[in-house]
Amino acid sequence: MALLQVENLTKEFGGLKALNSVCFDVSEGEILGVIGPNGAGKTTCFNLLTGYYLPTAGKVVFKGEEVTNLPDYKRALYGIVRTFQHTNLFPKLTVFDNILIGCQRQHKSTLADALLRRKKFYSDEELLKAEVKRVLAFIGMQEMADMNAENLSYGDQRKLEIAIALAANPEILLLDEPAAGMNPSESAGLLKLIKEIQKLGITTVLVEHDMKLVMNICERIIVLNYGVKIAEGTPYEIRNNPQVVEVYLGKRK
Amino acid sequence: MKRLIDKKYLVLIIVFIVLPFLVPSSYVRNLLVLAGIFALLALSTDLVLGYIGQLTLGQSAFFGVGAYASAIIAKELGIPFWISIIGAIVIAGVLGYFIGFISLRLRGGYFAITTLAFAQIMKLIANNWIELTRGPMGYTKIPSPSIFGLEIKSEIPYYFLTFIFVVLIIIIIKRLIDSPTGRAYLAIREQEDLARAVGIDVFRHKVQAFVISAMIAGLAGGLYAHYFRFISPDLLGIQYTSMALMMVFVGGRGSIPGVLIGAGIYTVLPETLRMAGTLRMSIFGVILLLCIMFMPGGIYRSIAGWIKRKSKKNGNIVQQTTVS
Repeated sequence: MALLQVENLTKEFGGLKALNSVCFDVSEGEILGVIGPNGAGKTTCFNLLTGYYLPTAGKVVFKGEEVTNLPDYKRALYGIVRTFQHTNLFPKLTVFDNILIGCQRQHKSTLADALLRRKKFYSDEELLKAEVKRVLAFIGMQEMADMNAENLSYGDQRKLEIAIALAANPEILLLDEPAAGMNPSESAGLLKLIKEIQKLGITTVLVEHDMKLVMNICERIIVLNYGVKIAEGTPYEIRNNPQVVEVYLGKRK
Repeated sequence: MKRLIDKKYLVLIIVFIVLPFLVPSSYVRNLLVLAGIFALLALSTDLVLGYIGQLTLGQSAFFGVGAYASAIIAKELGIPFWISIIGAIVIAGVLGYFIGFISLRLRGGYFAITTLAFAQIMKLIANNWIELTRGPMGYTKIPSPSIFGLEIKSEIPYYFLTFIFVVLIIIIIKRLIDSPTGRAYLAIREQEDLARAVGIDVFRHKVQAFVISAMIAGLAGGLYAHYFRFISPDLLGIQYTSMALMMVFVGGRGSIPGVLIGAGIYTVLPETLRMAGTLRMSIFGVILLLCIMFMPGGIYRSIAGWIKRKSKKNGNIVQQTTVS
C-alpha cells in the first residue's frame, strides 16, 4: 500500500479551481517530483498535503488513515513534514536552536517536569541535544552550530531548513522548491543531500522548478498544468511526453 | 538536580535584601514596593509581548481583576491573604483563558484591539457593578496580610513579601523559558508557520502563555490591593497597561533582566525628576522616547552588548537575541 494516497484532491479559491481532482500515490522510500509551469497548482497541492489549506473536495490518506482535515501541526506529528518555498527558518536563533525547535515533538516531559526541574526534564533535554548533534553531523553543519541562522549563506540557510524538517522526524518530507535561487554547486549539494535523506528511509516529495535537479533525482514525476494532472511517469517518460513538452516549450510549428 | 537559585545571583539577592534599610525615607521604600509590584506586571506583559510576540493591550484587566478578586475575597469572606491571593491568581487565569481563547485567534493589530476592548469592558464592569466593587468610589479597608499573627503592613515587611513573590515568579518564568515550552514560544514569535510545520500547536501555546501571563498580572494586582488597601476601577485603565508596556520596551523585550531594569527605571525615574517641577513628565517622556529610538532592543541588551564588545576588542559584533 502506498504511504500517501491523494484522491480527487480539489481546491477552489472563489471561482478558480487551483487544483482539480488530482489523484496520485506516493510509495514508501521514493523520491517523487511535482512539476508544472507557474500557477499550475504545485504549491496549492503541497499546501493541501501539509494541511496548510483544507481542500474543497477529495481525500488525503497517510498510512491508511485519512488526514484530509487534520491541521498542519498535527500532520507534522504524524510524520508529514514540510519546508517552505521562501526561506523559512528562525533567523535570530542559532543553528543549534533552530534544529532544537525542530526536534521539539520528541520531548516527552511535561510542563510540570520543566517547572519542577525533575530528572525526566534533564534526561529529555540531553536526548534532544544528542539528536540535534546527530542532525548537525548528518548535514555537515557542526561548525556553524553557534552561528545565528540569519548570518548563514543562502545555500546553508536552505540546507538548515531541511535540517529543521529532518529534526522533526518525518516519514515523508515535502520540499517546496528547495533549489530556488541556488547556484549550480549549491544545487548539486542539495541533490546529494536528498539522496542521503532517501538512504535514511525517508520518502520525499519535491516541488521544483530546477529541471536538472528533478530529472536527476526523482524516480517518478507528476506534471500539473492549470490544476490538472497531465502526466505521470519516470523522468524519461516525462521528457518524451509531447503534452509536457508542449506545456513547457509551446507547440512545435 | 540544579539548585533553586544559581550562586551568581546571590549577590543580587543580598543587595535587594539590604536595599530597603539603606534608603533614606519611607517614601522611597514605598517606591521600592511599587517597583516590585510593577515588575511583576511588566514580567507578565513580557511573557505575551516578548515571548509569543503578541502585543497585548489588556494587561490592566488582569491586574485590576486580581486586585478586586483578592480584596473582595479577603474582606467579604474574611479569608486570609494567603488564600485570597491564590483566588486572585485563579480568577485572573480563568478570565485570561476566556479572553485569550477568543482574541488569540486574531493576529497583530486585531489581537491588540480585542484585548484593549476586553480591558475596557472589565473596567466598565468594575465601575458599574456597585454591589460588588462599590463602583467609582473605590473599594476600601482591604485587610493587610498577616503571618503568625503579625500584620504585614508597613513598607519593609511588605517589601519582603513582594520580593519573595518577584523571585518566585522569576524562577518560574526562567524555567518556563528554558524548556521545550519556552522554545515553542520563541518559535511562534520568530516564525509561526514554521513552528506549525514542525508540529507545534501554536494556538494552544499562545493561550497557555496568555493564561500564565494573566495569572502573574493577577498576583501583581492582589499584592497592590493589600498594600494600598484601597483600589478603584482606575486600576483596570489603559494607563497601567501602557506603563507595563513601556517598562518592557525600555528595558528590553524577551529578557527577564531587561524587564526588571525597565520596571526599576520607570518607577524611580519620575520621582528623581521631581526637582524639574512641572516639566517632570515632559522630561520623562523625552527620556523614554530617546531610549526607544537609540536602544530599540532595550537598555539591557544595549548595555550587555556594549560590555561584550568591550571585552572582545577585535570588533566581533555579538548579537544578543536569544533569551537571557
